[in-house]
Amino acid sequence: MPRLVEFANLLAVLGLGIVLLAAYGFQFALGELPCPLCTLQRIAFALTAFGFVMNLRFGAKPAHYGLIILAALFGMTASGRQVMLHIVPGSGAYGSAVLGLHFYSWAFILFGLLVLGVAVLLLMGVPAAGTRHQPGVPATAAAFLVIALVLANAVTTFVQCGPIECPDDPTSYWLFSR
Amino acid sequence: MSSLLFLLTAVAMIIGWAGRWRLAVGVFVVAFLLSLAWLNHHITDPLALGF
Repeated sequence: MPRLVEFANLLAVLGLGIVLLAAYGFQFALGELPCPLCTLQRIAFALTAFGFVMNLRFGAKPAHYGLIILAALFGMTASGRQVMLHIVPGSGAYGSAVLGLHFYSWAFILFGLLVLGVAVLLLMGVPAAGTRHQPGVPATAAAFLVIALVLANAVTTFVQCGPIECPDDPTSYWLFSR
Repeated sequence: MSSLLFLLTAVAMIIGWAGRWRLAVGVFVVAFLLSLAWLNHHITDPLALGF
């Protein structure tokens, strides 16, 4: 895999890790529990990370980019829906604003940028089929970081929501309020 | 349900990193389809938009 493409995929995995960490920052430092749509947006970020992790492991493939685009479109649908819920003046908002935009607005922008980034990476070309690829230490570390964050989200989401469904406006953790 | 979606996605990544491409993509597809169904479950309320 050309070094620039590999570096871009590495940056994407790290960037998605930072997004998941930032969401945790707001959840645990500010006590803002994620709503069901917010959680679905986190899931979409995790699903997009899958495609980039596969690129780091197997080398860039059009199929991996296709999966990233599908996941990003899913994320745009979830975040766009939440933007629409709060777009009318006076309809309120959910959570804190960062630089004037709420998380779901930033998520919508980030998913759009992911689609744009993947389009640019596809224009840069992919290796020929059968090309051997060996992930390096930075790629392995980045992949393990994002896998650990997704696993942590599985645990904390279960603690917050339980086995079935989160309340629309969560105020406490399911496991601690039983 | 949401925690299961995270778990499936993580499992897909772990299987992929272990070198099982087809199985990893298969688990991803299951996670993606379940996520779509879960999103559909959560977007039934009408939007308060007027045009």
